[in-house]
Formats: sequence, structure tokens, C-alpha cells
Amino acid sequence: MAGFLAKRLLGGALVLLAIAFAVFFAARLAPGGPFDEERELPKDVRAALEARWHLHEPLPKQFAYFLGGLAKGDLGPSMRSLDWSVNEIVAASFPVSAALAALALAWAVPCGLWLGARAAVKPGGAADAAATGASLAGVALPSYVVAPVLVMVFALGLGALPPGGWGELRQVLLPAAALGLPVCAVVARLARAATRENLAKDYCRTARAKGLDERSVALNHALRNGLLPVLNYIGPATAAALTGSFAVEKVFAIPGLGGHFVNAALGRDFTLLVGVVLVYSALLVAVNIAVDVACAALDPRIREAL
Amino acid sequence: MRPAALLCAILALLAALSVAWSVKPPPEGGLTVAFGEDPRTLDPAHATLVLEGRVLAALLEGLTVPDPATLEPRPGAAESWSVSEDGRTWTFRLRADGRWSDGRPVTAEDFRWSWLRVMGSPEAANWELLKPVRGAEEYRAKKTSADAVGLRAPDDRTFVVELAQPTPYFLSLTSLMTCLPVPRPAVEAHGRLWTRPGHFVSNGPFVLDEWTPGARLVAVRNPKYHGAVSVALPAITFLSVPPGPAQFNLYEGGIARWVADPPPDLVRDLAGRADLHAAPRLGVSFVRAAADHAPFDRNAVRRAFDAAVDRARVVKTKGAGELPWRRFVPPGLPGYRGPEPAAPDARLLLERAGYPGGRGFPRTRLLYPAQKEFAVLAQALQGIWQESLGVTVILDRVDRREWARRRRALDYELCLSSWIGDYQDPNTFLEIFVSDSANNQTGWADAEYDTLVRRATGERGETRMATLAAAEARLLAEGPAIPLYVPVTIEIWDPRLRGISENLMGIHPLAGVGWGR
Amino acid sequence: MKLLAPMFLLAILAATVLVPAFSPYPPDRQDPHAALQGPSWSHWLGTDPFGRDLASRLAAGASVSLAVGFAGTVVALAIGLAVGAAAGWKGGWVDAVLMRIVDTLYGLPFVFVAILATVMFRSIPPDRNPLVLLLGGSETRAQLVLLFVVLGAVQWLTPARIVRAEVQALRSAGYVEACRALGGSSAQALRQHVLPNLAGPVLAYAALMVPTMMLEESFLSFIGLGARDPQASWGTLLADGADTLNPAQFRWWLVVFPAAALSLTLLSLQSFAEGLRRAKPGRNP
Repeated sequence: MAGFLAKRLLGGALVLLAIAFAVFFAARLAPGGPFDEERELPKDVRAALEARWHLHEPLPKQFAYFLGGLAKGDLGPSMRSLDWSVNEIVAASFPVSAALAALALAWAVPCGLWLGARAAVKPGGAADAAATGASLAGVALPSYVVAPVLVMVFALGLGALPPGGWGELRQVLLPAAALGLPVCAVVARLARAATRENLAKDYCRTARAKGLDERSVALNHALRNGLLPVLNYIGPATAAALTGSFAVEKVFAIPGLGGHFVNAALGRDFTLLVGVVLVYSALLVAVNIAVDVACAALDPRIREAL
Repeated sequence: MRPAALLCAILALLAALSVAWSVKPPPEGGLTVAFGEDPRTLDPAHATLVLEGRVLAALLEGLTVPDPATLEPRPGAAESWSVSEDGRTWTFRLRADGRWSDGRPVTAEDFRWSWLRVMGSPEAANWELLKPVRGAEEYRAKKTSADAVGLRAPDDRTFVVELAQPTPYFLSLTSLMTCLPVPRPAVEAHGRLWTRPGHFVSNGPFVLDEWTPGARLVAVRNPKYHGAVSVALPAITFLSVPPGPAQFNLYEGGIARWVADPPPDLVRDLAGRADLHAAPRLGVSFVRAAADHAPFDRNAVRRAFDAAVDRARVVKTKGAGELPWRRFVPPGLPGYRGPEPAAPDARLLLERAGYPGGRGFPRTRLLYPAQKEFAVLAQALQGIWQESLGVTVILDRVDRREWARRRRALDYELCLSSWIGDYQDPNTFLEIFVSDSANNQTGWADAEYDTLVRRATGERGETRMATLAAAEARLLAEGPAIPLYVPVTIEIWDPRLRGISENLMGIHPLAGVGWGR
Repeated sequence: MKLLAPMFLLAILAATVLVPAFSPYPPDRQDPHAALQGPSWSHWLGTDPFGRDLASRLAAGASVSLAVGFAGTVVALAIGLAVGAAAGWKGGWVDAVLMRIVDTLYGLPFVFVAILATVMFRSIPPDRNPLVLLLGGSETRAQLVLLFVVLGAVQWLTPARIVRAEVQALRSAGYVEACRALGGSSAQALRQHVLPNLAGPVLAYAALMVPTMMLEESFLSFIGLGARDPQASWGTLLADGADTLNPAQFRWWLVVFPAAALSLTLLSLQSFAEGLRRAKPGRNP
């Protein structure tokens, strides 16, 4: 197991390097640079700004500068926020996004599992209808629709919760609801399919024969064995909760990483873009490793294969 | 089930922890505003955005401070000023009780050093505003020393500025963010980091207390400010909120009490509300026509597209109360009377250009950035041109940076654009179309126009305004720019707030703002 | 009840044909005097800020959305199945390499890949662009195909992971090992025992993927790669509608109808997938 973990961690580091390389060059291939402003900058000012980030030098040389900084853990100064470094911006906004995503996943995954398992017990029943309805809403209504509706109903209509901002737990509830809904929907859907698949298997029949009621069979046996696809979805779900938070952050005015990411990509803030993508990627790699470990823990066959 | 439950528990714990860590509540009795995204910088030499101007005006005080309603220069760091007979030498008398927040007096040398810093800084985006000062360009090009620049500080309280030309709008420049003084010791001690809380030393009504990038910026009352007793607010919190619905929601939810960029189409739905303020802006929304290649290299084609635009319909689709406008210089500039634009028959013009009923006219791209306001405008214009001229207009939506790049490269036929004036004078609009201006970006170069604009810089009073009007007439007759409307600034502020006025530039000095009864 | 889903899909298809034929309003015709009207006899589903008829636009948007949704899903599933099955079945270095590629691509956000694809497509003028030439010189069609490719190329990662995990588990399942022990070739085991068992989870995921694709397309449209203004798709109609949401004036028709079109299509697809699965159950031992 330790060897497996070491191998995965090394692999993860290589993946991050590959991503840094890809993003660095791809960003610079896109037309338009960080200093193409709505109001044209005077020529000498533009040249000075480009020189500060070595943009006038050949790409390989720029990449060397970048790697040099990276080795020291320095992602360089931001091209938009001239007074701040990328490290500082990420440090200020990452905890916000992480807290939001964590909270969203924390409710959405268990809720989805429960809904899915309940739905599988009695196909066509009330729970099944509820699960179908929820997954329908979660998938067909993207967060940029759900979020404003939540604001209109719960914040401005009922006045129950603040319509946005950041600082207290109350302000996180609505965005976490909006962000978690699509995750919950997919998890419910996967859990339902997997549980039903397993309910038809022999071991479940045995469990039933031993006198267990259908609910316990579903929750304790079928769902447990059907967790693999769901666990595999946790990686993408984290990605979705993090990168997908852009719309939610925008609607609720949350100072997170998602806004920085899209602004950096569309505004060609190369340094910030690489920084944000690396943070996302590092997190995703970590989650994927954790998922593999969890899979191994869950399924002895996979454990033996390691 | 167990590992999943464990994972969730850990995640929830993390979430709760990091939320608890994050922020302290905004100061009691203060004002929370959402004017847009974070300032890019708080260094006056590098700042360019309206929002940056607002924050900086709270922290630093220029020689003059604009009147909240009329924008006329009022005494700021300078208590009085005079101008010489020839209009080239301005003498400012600084107030005796001006203090930086570290207790040092504000001196004429502070201004001289700060202005020289802007002229000399390679990254100072707006240094050209100081171009009227004698020797500025030579100093920036490192051809002369600082002593040769027309800035002198004969004593601590006297600041003398010598201009190369009599520049009628010079006084209004002295309140702009580019001309604000900076604290020399802090800048020299901390370099680029001088704008951080703790390093920032201010001479204005507020001092910088907190700045979390991308989140918020808090300024608290400056006890050392000469007018500190009349500053009504103990603190101002600037939330970083992108323009759009979120700003309005924060306002309605009582979190922000003043927002500067709610969705423009809200005006349609909120008409009649007392806290909604839609004021025409010193700016113009227009379409650039690429005059260096076919088909818009022909005057008749440009003018046909100009004449075909039904401004009233454009404005109705936009719906925020914009003012339909056929000239390039917006209204409201003191002493200026623009030319009367002609209204030729669009179809006739296009027919004379060889395209009767639009037949044979090449497919034309309309370039615009991927933002909702521009997309709405582009689709309205497409409808109008296709219906009235019988041509085919293709909507070419690209992201903001590519839009700017292609505009500069003249890789377009028609391009949605806008221009916001820096100061209250027609020159800030007309100078962008002289042939060597970096902002021309139409490929249109006209010797007669250049001569007129140049000539005006040496003139004064009515003669000058007449010359500028002649230049505008020339611009309209040539049609590289098709004006559409005068944009509006939409702001919503709490009716209990006092001391805020609508004005042309969206400039709001915050020293006089406070809660009323 | 069982026929409801296919009937609804058929109705949508019929609407894409019939509405343009019988509606007095072309989807792009602007009428400034009829802007932002609610549903009425003259405009059944209301109008947008330009005074365009929402019913016509929904019908026009259906063809774009359905094409993008299905074609994108097919592309994504094809890549995902191949990669996932190869990685899960072969294991070892094949698995390691393929999964590292998947991990790398996971880390590369979608916006990014999308912008890059636009750039590469746009940098070649249409008269020399191979994709345009391949599709008979139609730039619009080429753009649509590019959409399938971009969406598929981004979305195959999750199916690949799901398939890999399933195959991995099945590989060591008793009946698969038995098949091999009895002298069955690897390919035979894969085809007879593993692939049929994949149908359940893959179809479940695919049913959700189609509407996801439709929604992702709306995001692509936003950055200029998707359906071109003023062409509509359900995704762009929904996004535009969501943008008009404000507490002062609730123009529900701009949100409800596009959302209903999307969700009902999703519901139909889902029960369709369910039916497929029941008709052809996985061959459990």
C-alpha cells in the first residue's frame, strides 16, 4: 500500500508539471495579451509592462523563468492586480472556494446516496419519483439558473438568508445548496443504478433469505457494493464543485478562486491563470489518489491487484 | 458506507473551520459599498479605472477636489491658486494644516516629486494627462533632467506649474487620480509594496485599514486629515463585486448600501424608485468603421451605415435610459457647441456607392466583446442594418482581449466601441482620432482634421471651441466613427445617505458623504 | 405511460420542423414594438428583449441543442469506453499511462480547452480551413462539428474512469476468470462478460450526459465558440433568461420554457435509457 501511494504521489507531481507546461504555452497561444486594453496603452507603457513579465522574450526562456520561480514556490506577480502576487491572491481566495466546495459536497454526496438507495428499493415509488425529480432538477437546471432563483425566493422574497457576500456561516448556506445540487443529482442517479444492479445479485438474495428487510439489504449490502462508480465520481464532483463554483460565486458575490480563474483566462492574466490551474490540479490529483485508496479499501479485489 | 461518511465529516469540519477563520464584520456605523471588482492597484501612477479613482480619492487629496454636483475644482490640498496672463503658469498655494497620516506636513515638494514620478514611471498608463506640463515628454524620454520640467516648489507651500501651451482644462486635471500626491518616504521604503495596509500613508479623509485582494478593502477615517471633523463616516468598506445582478441583490439584501454597476436593464423595471440614479455620462458609445480596407474605405459606405442607424430603436432595446446621439462629443461640456449633423438618405448613399438595395455588398463582420451589453447592442444593430440597407451583417463575438487586439490590428469591418472622457473638454474625445493617436484604430487619417485639433491646443476661449467644433464636423462628415448614444451611469444608493450627487463623470468625493436623519 | 418518453421526443422533433413552417415569425425577426411580452395568442410563448418570438427560437434552438447533445455524447462515450476498457483490462503500464493522461486532462479546465479550440479554428481562414472544406464549405456546419469534438474531447474523462473501475472489478470476478481459465481468449471474455455488464452504469451516465452537453454548449456560446448570435440553442436561451431574473420584474416565460424543454427532454431520455436497459439486461452469471 505504501509503495502504491508513493507511486501515485510521484505520478501526481509529474501530472502537475505536465499541466503547468500545457497551460503556460496554451495561454500564450491564445490571441490577445494581458495588456490589450479597451483603452490602448501608450506604446512605451505597454512595452514596460511586457518587459516586467518577460513577455517580449522567446517562449522557452519565459518558461525557464517560470520554472525558476516555481522551484522557489513563487508564481510571480499578477498581471491584472498589479499590487499583488499570485501567491497572495490564491492564499486569500482558495480557503473561501475550498470551504464552499467542501460544504456543498458534504451535504450533496450523502444526500445523493441516500436518495439513490431509497429509490432503488421500490422503483416507481414515491422515493423513486423524488430522486428522479431531484436529479432532473439538478442536471437540467444549471447553477446559473438555480442560484438566482434561490436568491429571489429565500433571500429577497422570504428574507431568511443574506443574498450573498462572505463572512458568516449564514451567507454560505444558499451558495452551498446551489453548488451541491447537481452533484447530489448525479450521485443519486449513479447510486440508484448501482444499487439496483446489485439488488438482483445472489448475495442480496441470500441476505433476503436470511430475513433482512429490503431497506437494510439495499443500504447495507447493495449500496455498499455499488459504491465504486459513485466513488469514482467524487473526483469529477470535486472538480465540478471547484471550477463550477464560478457561476455560484458570481451570483452570490463570493470572493473565491472561481472568479479569479475565469477572469484570468478571459483577461489573459497568464501568471494568475497558471497559478489557479495548478492549485485546482493539485487538489484534483490529491482527491483522485484518495479515491483510489478508498476504492482499494472498499474492494478487496482491487486491493490485491495493487 | 463508513469511509464516505468519514470523508464527509472531515470535509464539513474543514468547511466550518475555514468559514470561521475568514473575515471580521465591517466596522460599526460605516458604509459598505459595491462599486465593482477590486482596484487593480492603489498606486495613482498606475491606476486607470473609475473604481480606482473613487478609492484613491478617499485616501489621497489632490490640489483641487471636484464639487460633488458640478465637478468644478474646489480647494483641496491647495487653498487657492492663480493663473498668469498668458494662461501658461499656474501657482498653487497649499494649505498650512495639510498633514499626511504619519504627521508629516503636505508640501509642494510632495506634489513635485509625485508628478515627476508619474512622468518618469515606465508603467504609468495615464502619464499623458501630464503632457501639457512643459518638458514632460522630454523628461519621460530622459532627454532632460527633472530641473528642466515646468514644476517648481519655491517654498513648502507654493507649487508652480508651467505649461507648454495654455491648456484651459488644466485645473480639472489637478483633481484626477493620476495627479494625486504619494507619500515619498513610504514609496521609497517599501517599493511596490507601499500600497499595502500598514505601509500606505494618506493625506485624504480616510486611511487604508484592510485590503484582501479580490474580496474587500476597508478605509477608516483619517484623524490627521485637515477636515477630519467634517468627515461623517467612520469607515467605508469597498466590496469586490463584479458588475451585474449580484450588486443589486446585495443592495436589496441590505449588505451594500450603495452600488455603482447593477444590470443596466434594471432601469426599465425599477423606474420611479427614488434610490435609483441614472445619469448621462461623459462618454459616447460608437461603432468604429475600418477605413483602411474595403468596403468601409469609402466615405459613402461609412456614411450610409451611419445614416441608417435608428438611434431611438437602439436605445429602446438597451433600455437603460441612454440618450440617442448623432455627434461624437457628448453634451454637457461648458462652452462647447457641436456641429449639427446632417441626415442624408442611407439607401441613396449606398446606391451611389454602387450597391443599390444592398445588392453586391460584401458580408460584413461586426466585431464586439463577449459581454451582455455589447451582445444586445450588436444584435439590435444587425437587425437595423439588415432591414434598412439590405446588407448581410455577421456578428463576430470574441473575448475582450481578442477584441482589443483585433481592433488594434484593424482586423474587422465594424467594431463596437465606447469612449469615456477623462476631463470636461471636447479635446478628450477629439484627440483620439488624430492620425498618430494610439486609440484611433480605424485606419482613418485626415490631414485637415489633424490640423484643426492641433491648432486648437494653441488657442483659447471661443476661438478654440469653434476650431474644435469644426474638427468634430469634419469627423462626422468623414464617418470613421458612427456615434450611437450617450451611456448612462446607473447607481443605487440608500436614500438616507447625504452628500452624494449625480454627475457626468461618476466622481464621488466621499469626505462629505454621511447618514442623514 | 411507457410511450410518453418517445412520444415527447417525437413531439420535439416535430416541433423543430413544424414551427418554422407554420409560425408567422422567423426566429431572428426583431420587432421592437413587441419586446418582452408575456405569452399571448399572437406569441404563444412570449417574446425576448428584441421582440423575437420565443416559440420560434425554441424550435430553432432544438435542432442545435439535440445535435450537440447527442453527437457530443457519442464522441465522449466512444473515447471513454475505449480508454477506460483498455486501462481497466490491461492494467499495468497501459493503465498507468492512460490514467495519468486522464488526470492531466482533468486538471485542465474546460474553459481553457474551449478557448484554445476556438483559436485554432479561427486562426485559419474559412476558404483554407480543412474542417470547413471537409464539410462542403459551410462554416456554420463546421462550427457545429467543432462543438461536438470539443465537448466530446472534454467529457470522455468521467466515462473513462467509470468504465475503468467497473472493468477492474469485473476482471477479477469469478465468472470472468473462469471464462479465461476455460481457454477463452481475452477478447472473448471482454466481449461476452465485461462489456454487457458495463451497459448499466454507462447508460445511466449517458442519459445525464446529453443535457449536460446541451448546457455546456451554452457556456461555449458565451465565450464565442458555440451557437453564433443571433442563432439560438436551448442552453443560450436559458442562460439569457436567467440573466433577466430580478426581483422587480419576473419574466418567467424566458426561464420556464427553455428550462422545461431541457428538463422534459432529459426526463424522456432517462426513461428511454431505462427501457433500453430493461429490454437488454446485462448477462449476469
